[in-house]
Amino acid sequence: MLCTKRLGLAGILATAALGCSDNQLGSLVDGVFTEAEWEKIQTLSPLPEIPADPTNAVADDPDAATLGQMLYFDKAFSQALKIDSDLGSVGEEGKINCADCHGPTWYDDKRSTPNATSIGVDRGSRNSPTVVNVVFYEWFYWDGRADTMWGQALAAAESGVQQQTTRLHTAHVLYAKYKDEYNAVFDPDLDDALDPTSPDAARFPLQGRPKAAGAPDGAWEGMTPEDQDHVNRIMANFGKLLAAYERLLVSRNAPFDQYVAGDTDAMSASAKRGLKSFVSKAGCVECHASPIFTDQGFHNIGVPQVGEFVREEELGRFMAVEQALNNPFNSNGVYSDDTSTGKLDGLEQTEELRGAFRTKHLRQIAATGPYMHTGHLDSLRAVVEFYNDGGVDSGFVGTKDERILPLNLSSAEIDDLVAFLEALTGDEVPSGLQQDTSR
Amino acid sequence: MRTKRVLLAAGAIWATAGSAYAQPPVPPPPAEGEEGPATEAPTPEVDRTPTTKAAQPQPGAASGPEAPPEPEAPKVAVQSGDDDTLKRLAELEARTEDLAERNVELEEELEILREDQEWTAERVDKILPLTAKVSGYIDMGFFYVEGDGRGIRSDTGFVFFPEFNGVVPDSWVFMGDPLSTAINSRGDPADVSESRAITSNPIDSNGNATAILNNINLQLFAGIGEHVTVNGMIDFIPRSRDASDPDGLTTGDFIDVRLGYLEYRAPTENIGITLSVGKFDSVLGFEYRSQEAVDRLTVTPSLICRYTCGHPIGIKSRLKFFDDALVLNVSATNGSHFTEGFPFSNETDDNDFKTGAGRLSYRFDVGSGLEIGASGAYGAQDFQAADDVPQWHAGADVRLEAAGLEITGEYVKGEAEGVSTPGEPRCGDAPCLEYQGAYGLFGYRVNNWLIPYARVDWRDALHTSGASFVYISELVRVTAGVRLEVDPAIIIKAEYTVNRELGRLPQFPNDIFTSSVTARF
Repeated sequence: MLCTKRLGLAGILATAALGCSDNQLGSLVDGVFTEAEWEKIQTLSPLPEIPADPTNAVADDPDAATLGQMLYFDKAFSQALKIDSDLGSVGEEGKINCADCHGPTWYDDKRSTPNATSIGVDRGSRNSPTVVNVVFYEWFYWDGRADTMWGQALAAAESGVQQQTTRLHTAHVLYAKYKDEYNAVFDPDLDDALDPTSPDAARFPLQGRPKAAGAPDGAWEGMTPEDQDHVNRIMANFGKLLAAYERLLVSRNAPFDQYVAGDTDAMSASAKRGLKSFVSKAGCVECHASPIFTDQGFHNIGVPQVGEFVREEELGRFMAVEQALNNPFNSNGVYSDDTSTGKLDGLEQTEELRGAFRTKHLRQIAATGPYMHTGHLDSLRAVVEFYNDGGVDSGFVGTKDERILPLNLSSAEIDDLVAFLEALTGDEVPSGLQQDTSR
Repeated sequence: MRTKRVLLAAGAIWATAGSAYAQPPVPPPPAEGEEGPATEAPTPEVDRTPTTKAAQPQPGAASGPEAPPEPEAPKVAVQSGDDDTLKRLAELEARTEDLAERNVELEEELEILREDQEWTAERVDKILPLTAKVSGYIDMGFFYVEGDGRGIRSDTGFVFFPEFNGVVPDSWVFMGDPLSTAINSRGDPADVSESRAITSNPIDSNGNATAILNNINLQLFAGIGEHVTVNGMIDFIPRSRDASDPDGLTTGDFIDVRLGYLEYRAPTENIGITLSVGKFDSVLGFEYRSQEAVDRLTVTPSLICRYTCGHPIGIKSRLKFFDDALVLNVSATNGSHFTEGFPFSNETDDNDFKTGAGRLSYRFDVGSGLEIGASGAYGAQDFQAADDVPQWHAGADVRLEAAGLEITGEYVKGEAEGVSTPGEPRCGDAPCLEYQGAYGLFGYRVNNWLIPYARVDWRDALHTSGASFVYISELVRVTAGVRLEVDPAIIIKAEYTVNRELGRLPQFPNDIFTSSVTARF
């Protein structure tokens, strides 16, 4: 019964006597949550089935995933190091694989020093996030400049600070090391001219990629359009193979999931209080919604660009929109297996996207620090305190989201929230998937 | 008025000292020929033996060198055989002796009093230069608030106010009044927990019944010359440590400077003129006059006290006409007259537009007094840098004291307009507040120590701040209580408040039982 009718003064005492005052907002679930809160909590668990990716025809092909795992751990695609690191000295090649910045166990960066920003062939300007459970994302990279998982994977390989591979080099490595596996998955097969001993080997120089705007022509520009397309398709498929593997990197059965499923002992009292705060006082769920704890949106929460290797300014999603639209490997491109998803429809640069970054998912968040795209917050408590303070007022591009305001959480409430976030770490991905199967 | 009270108290000292000079508490001796009190001069047993001169007290026989001369016994002719005459004579002699003894006693007593008076006069002479006074009180209590102690609940899922869906996060859509669960005279709520506008939560009861030392109040008064006084009042509030500050070293106790001002009383005859500068009492409404626990009839303030019980900083003048029947209070202050616990109160100013406020009242000669007043304020909104963001307040009040009955009624209405950006959530640039409210308070002095009372108060307000929060407050409370004045310095109060949400707000448990024991010093 909802006592929402207007009460006259004469009826007030009578109403009180009838006990109309209690629990109209719902009886408490587990002695902690109102029914409305519990309804909201139930939208956060369990993790759904892995969503389909129609843009990647081999997304759920086991052979593709197996080959993708090989490629994930293979360092042969990376080019010369630009800086010295634990992986080698400047100029050394074949030193970086995906796992160096996304692994082990939780597929995040535990190697770079300092690990606020990650080190590939060069020092990056952002922290490498976990790859576990990213299959549930709709956009990839902190700024969402990739609209498909495979588009992200190949772009990382080409990145000048990550592996800095070239499309021709990637094609040659695939041909040299994984030709049979590749040809078993894709049609057409790899062109035999990719064999350096082939009479037609000159069609595919050992290195090359499309030149940057304004740059002189390179080896890539000397190729026929048909051969360029063949290599581009190989590059797209390279990304799709990696994506097929990364789609399997899913962690479920977190204490939180067990709790929502009915195991009231799965979370501590502190974590339960934190969960209550998460969906109420702190308002975290406003953005960290859904079972993956993200609204898939982009927000400027006023993360300051601080850190030794962090860029002075980051336009975030504003710049990424343009990159996503112009990416030949996007979901609308010729290498997409389904150009009708409509994901890029209506996408445009708007002012509120300046300085905005994707809402990060919170699954296994306790195991995947440091935090924010800058990696400048080294603990969950620091993150919650950041929000509790309402962020900062300067040091970032654009306008901070108006919802980022002081939360007035007590120290105990901050502890509770951290306890809840720690309850979001589920089972590790199967050990077989963590094995380096590269050749 | 607190200053008046202090001055009156100081005046009482003077009156007491003065009376010691003018009217020493000595029973006047019986006038000549007048009978003294029967208790002091009982009729002696009649002695029928004929009175002889030898039997009379001899001059100089009284003990002590200072004894006055024994009054000579009246000479009465005795007629032998006249028993009535003899009897009468004996009575007269006995009475004469008694009066003589009494006279001695009175002389001695007079001397003692004379010495006491001289001592008192010396003491008063020493006290004369001292015109300062320290006083105060402590306020202890016990309370229980239903539910978790809060007067608000979030509209999770936008069940009750769907119009805020997409505007403000549902957990920040608050239904109710965060101050409706006040448990002491200061107006401190039992718990505010999730509140985003009123965030100070020093009690943090979480719905548990608890004893509490509400405050230790210290009042300071000093005179400078004949017309200027210095006034201050501080609350010491013992609370748990602020847990939101992990690096804090304090115990959580805090100090609230409530008053601090200079007051000048012009030496006029027909018009009372008072000028105050500093941090002083509000000039709005009536309730501000009796905010302290020892003065307030109830334990807790009304729902509208937040708008009229503040202590703004600025300058104030009070003018009294027609034997104080007509009173005009005007002030110019940094900001509103809201209480500090309410987020529209700023002691220092963020803008140049000062707040003007005033109250005009007239006291009719009905019973012990029927006072009717009207008050208002206008200025730039607190905490806003711009001068063109207005905040206004208006109210009316009435107060009657007659035949042991105290009736007070008050109504207020006002608005802080805030600032909004088109296309953005309303009041995002400066918070908005629209409010109206009222209360009626009835008290009846049954005898010199017992006053039962009842209060009905109501508040209807909308407090909005962009996407940060919205408070929808529409509620009525009914309070019944009793005040026991067990001693002039000790007052015990207890009350129960039924808290009911109105309109589209759902009901939730937030009734209040609270009590208070105050002791003055």
